[in-house]
Amino acid sequence: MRLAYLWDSTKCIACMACVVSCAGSNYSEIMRFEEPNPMRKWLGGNIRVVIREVGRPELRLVSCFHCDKPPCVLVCPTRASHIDRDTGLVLLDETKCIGCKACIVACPYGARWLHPTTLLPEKCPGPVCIDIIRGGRKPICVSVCPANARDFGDIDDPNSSISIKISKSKSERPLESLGTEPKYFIVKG
Amino acid sequence: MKLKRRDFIKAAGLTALTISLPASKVIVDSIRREEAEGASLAPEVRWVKTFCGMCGALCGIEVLVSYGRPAGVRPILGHPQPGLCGRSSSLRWLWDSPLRLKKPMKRVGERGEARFVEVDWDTALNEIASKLRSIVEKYGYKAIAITHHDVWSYYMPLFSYLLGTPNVISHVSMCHVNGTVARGHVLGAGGPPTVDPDYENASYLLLIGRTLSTASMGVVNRATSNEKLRIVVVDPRMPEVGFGNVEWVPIIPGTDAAFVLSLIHVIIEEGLYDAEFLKRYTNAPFLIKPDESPLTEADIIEGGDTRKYLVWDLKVKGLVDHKAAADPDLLYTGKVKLKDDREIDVKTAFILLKERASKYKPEEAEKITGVDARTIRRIAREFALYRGVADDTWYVSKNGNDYDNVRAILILNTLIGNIDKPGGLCYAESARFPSIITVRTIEGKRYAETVYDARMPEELFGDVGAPRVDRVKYRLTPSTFDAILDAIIKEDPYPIKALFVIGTSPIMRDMNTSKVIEAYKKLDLLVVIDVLPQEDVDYADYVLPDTIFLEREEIASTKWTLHASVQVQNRVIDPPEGYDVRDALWVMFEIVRRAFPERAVALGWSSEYANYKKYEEEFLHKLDEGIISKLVATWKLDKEAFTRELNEKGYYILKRKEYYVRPYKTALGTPSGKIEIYSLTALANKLDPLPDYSPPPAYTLPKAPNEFYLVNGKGPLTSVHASLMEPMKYVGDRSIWMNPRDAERLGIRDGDLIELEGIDTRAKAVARVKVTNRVREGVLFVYSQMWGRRSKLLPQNHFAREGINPHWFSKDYVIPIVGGGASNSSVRVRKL
Amino acid sequence: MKRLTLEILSILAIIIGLILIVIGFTRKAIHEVSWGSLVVGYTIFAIMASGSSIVNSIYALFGYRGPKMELVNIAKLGVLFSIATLISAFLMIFAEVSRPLDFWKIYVYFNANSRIAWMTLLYTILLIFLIVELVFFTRVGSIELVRPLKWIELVIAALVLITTILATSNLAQIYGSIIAIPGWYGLLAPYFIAIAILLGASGQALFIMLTLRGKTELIQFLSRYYGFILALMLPILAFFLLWNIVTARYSIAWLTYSEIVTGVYSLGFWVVVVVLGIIAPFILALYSFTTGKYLPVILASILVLITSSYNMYLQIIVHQLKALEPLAGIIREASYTITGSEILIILGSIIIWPALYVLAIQLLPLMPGEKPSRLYIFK
Repeated sequence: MRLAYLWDSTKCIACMACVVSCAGSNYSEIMRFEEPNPMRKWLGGNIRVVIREVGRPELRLVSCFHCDKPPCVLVCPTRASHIDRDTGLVLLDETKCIGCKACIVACPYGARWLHPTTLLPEKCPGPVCIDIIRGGRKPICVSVCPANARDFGDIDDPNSSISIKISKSKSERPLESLGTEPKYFIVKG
Repeated sequence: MKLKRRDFIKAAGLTALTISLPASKVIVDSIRREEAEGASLAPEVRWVKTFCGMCGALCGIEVLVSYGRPAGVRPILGHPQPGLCGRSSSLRWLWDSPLRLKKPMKRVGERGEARFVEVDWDTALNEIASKLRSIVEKYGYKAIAITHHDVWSYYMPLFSYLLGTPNVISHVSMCHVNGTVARGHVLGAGGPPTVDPDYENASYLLLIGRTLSTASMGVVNRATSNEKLRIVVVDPRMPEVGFGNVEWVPIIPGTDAAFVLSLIHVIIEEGLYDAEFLKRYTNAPFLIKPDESPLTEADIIEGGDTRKYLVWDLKVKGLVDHKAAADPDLLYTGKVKLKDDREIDVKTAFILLKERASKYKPEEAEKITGVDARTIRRIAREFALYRGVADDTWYVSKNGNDYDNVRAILILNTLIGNIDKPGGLCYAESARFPSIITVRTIEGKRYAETVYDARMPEELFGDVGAPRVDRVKYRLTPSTFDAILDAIIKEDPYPIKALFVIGTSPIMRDMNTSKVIEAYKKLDLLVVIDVLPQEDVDYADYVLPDTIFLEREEIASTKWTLHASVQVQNRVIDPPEGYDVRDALWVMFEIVRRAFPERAVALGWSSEYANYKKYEEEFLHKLDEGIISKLVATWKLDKEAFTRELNEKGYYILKRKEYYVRPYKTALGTPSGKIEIYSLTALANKLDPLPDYSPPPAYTLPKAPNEFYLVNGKGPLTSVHASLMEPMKYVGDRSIWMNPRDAERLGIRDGDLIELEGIDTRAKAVARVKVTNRVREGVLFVYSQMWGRRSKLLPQNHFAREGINPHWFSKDYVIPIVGGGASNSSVRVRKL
Repeated sequence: MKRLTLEILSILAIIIGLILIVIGFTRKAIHEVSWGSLVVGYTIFAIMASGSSIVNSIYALFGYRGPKMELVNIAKLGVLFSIATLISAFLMIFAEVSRPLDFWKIYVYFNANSRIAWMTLLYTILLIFLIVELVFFTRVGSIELVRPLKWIELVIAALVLITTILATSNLAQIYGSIIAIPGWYGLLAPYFIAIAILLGASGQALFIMLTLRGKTELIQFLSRYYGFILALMLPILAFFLLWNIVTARYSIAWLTYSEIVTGVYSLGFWVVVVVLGIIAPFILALYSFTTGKYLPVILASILVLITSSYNMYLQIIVHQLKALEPLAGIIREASYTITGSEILIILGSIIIWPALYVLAIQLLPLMPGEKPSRLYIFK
């Protein structure tokens, strides 16, 4: 089983439901911090927003893309950052993490951020979503999207909704040329 | 740096924490697991179905309550209007927000100083009641006004009778009045949800001055689940929907009518219109006399019916009543002999439309709109060939010429006959939701009867029947708040001395902020009922803290769906400890019970309800019962089954959309009963029966190189209360958008500070620029109803103080007779 | 008396240093970059330690003793310098991670793919080997060694050299194997080894020549010796740095490298790193090599220490300040300013650095000619 994410750039309307819900559900303990995410100058949540204002304005939502060849797993000295055997997701074992921040440096997407109180790295999926996923359901960002712009599921299963969507769409993976093989499919058409 | 004992302790503590962290994690993890499952692992963790109140759309959502806190939100699957968006996701920040108004407050300083003392409810309510009594004694009940938005709107007619005043006026002149009047005139419809594109089945959607990505994520859901939908959005700025596979056509502000009339011209010229539809279901074939009025039977026969509109029937080659005509000629021009033997020339309304539209050939329209002629032609052809639908708009109080824009759009849809068909512009099924109060005659006497069966006799109506101040000036308006301001400041047509501001912020929503503030200062009594410190609170005599939607129960009709549907708001959670907040419904009744006890009694209020718990248990219950029993009676449902399904699913679909009804089987609410491309109502009110383009009258047009249109708009985060929540600091855009070419010309770079000066109002403000291609040249864009807060009760460094409130710059232009406002303006820019 | 005072002073300094480090640790702020001044400081000290070990191997492994056994006399001091520097490095990196007490997890959950895991292991092994070498030199001391001891000495020295070269190059490739930061990605190992030798030699020059002030002939030799090493390695460093820049010029690495060479940091780079960091010390070192005067090489050493540290700061921090977003044409920018807590920690480590050195000299027979008398290795 390899769980992957899909984001449909043809439908996303930047409503921020996923961005805010991720922060509120997964990191409620820092929800009223003045600076919940000093490293990224952002919400204490796993989804960042990148907008290009020149040319044809375009939007990207950046979160952990769960690479099959994740630099953050290769670099972690204690195997705290690892690929979960059951789900194929990149997870963090906090009992092993020493907070060296190598995984934050190594991620080419800037998907990780430093939690302001534990000083340990955070990324998608957050603690609540991990439990949701283990319960066989789709993570919060997928369930709150009003625009049918997100999906999640097993790309090793040809009958999953995500596999069907991928097979029918023109899609790309972010920064493909780096060789990280992210399990995140951006539908372009 | 000296070493202190606490640093030692901190160091030791940190070490201890580091070691003990795994242990405390176990407890946190188990809570989170329960939250994730949402199962009844513990009674403290449950999902509650309700509808969202973080904006006015009221999308169906479920809220997770976990250990006494709102902890998660998700859409109700299967709901005809499911959520959700960044506002809805922010509700957990609202519930126990430190900014939330917690106790009633009474003003001690000057209006605007925001100096208050906390008082108990009885004091506040008694003092307000006593002030109301003296105002009513001097000026009558009609000197009391209420303004509101979507919150508590169902109860506003009740409040009108409660206070005996006609002056209950909403925000809609700053929202959809221009469109609503247009919808009424052309389609015999009402507010924005009464007709809507059939998003799920449409093939080509034309959004002109409508973003789709503003409120109602339910609509977004419907549109995006339609895989084959092509979207074209025509707007001076690229709305969020433009990030998707959408064609964005940048247009000069205020020129939509020229654009649409040009599309109409192309469609007519190239014969792409649905002639059959126009003949049978519209007044296009009506013969129009030189005085612009339609030819009726009364014109040609003595004693003829003025409501028999005549057309030229090609079958019998003669004048026939349109209802009886077999094949009316759309293109007839000719002479007609009147009953007094005079001969006049007549033309069909369609010919008049054709002549009107021919003023806007694409080459001409290009000069006005900035959209090139080829694009106009292409869109017109695509629209016709793909059987497109143009959205009937929502927020259209922009430039002072918006009424005509919407009429043109409705006519565009009519031309290709895509009305009430799958994929077309459809009439929504009415849920026939019972009105809170209706006037009935019982045994010869008139009563105002509430939905919970209280009856107020006619002698207690007070000034309810008196002319409403906005209707005096703007005959056709659903609501124009600017008229209230005139009544307060100039006492024209009569003085208004007391104002209740309930769940709305006129400072954030109304034009010409300085005029709003001037009115506030002139009032004898200003009561603000709200949940957060909106700027209007600074001027209030009494500030009363309202409950939020999570703390209330209600049944309402589902707004943004073509089906007839009702939805339930279940109480998710009680107010936080120490937040002494009460329903505005209770507040208004209690004020009136203390001021004019007989009025409250007549409307079913008992003095027992002064006890808030009693009110919740009894009054709300009988209200609920009243609504449900009337609904089940209207729809002939089994009450048990209905209530059960409503509570389990959160919604109940009373009737699915039935197509081909209006105007096919049912006459419309227009004078002719048909779609009026030539509006007889407009004509009767001395307005142009056909739409036309005129340059925006609401502001001085920008000319100099440093003058710009200041266009404001909304997005998926727009909400006066949601925008104060912590996440908005990061996801909310407080900048002013400027096109890169303009920026280059003025030497302005992304992130620079600029000063804006209103060309008409002379107001000045400073804000940061975002240089972006998301706005066309010559135009500045800013999100409205969110930023530029000056409320003294907000912390000095609150992020919502950044940015601007565009209404500082807008004049108070109201479209005559129609009553819609205009929030756009023009400004001069200076780099700092 | 003097010895006791120095002992007390150095213990006090160590305590003060530890206190500063702890205070700094508790006040750590979160930066927009992940690896800040503490990682820079650690890197500098770690490669200084391993570079110093490379310099030591000139005598220890390759057997060059100097015309009057000078290098034999300073062998123990050289190894001590490596150890003191390495311990200071460890202090900085302990303070940098969020959970220093969990450091043992690197050994237990060792990820063989991780350069950082190997770095920890190799530097730990290096420290152990250095301590063994120090004990050996202390116990054995004289050059008249019987054959088996000579072999042991060579084996230890060989182990030290191999470990130190592996450790230095591995530390370089921690940076060099991160694709997320194009300014780092590539073969940094030779570059780091060159800097390591330079830092090691400069540090040794300062510490050891200060320790031995008064011993004119020894000083004179060391001036030539360290002058030679500096004069040899500086051009080699320039060579590697040049190719580093040229290669970066033709890849996406120029996104951040341009800031160093032609951008905001260019003044600092050209003036400090190139002129004061390569050209000036080269001339000074050459002068000391040819004349045997100590002042120029001391000055050169100070310059090298400061400017190479600054260069390391630029190389580590600046390349983190820009990154490509997964949306064409968008660059994610970060800013970095050193905070008080980092200054405290670095200050603490820098205070402990010579304090350890001085304390060890007071307690152990490390000066030329001294022999152990108590507790196996103590004076």
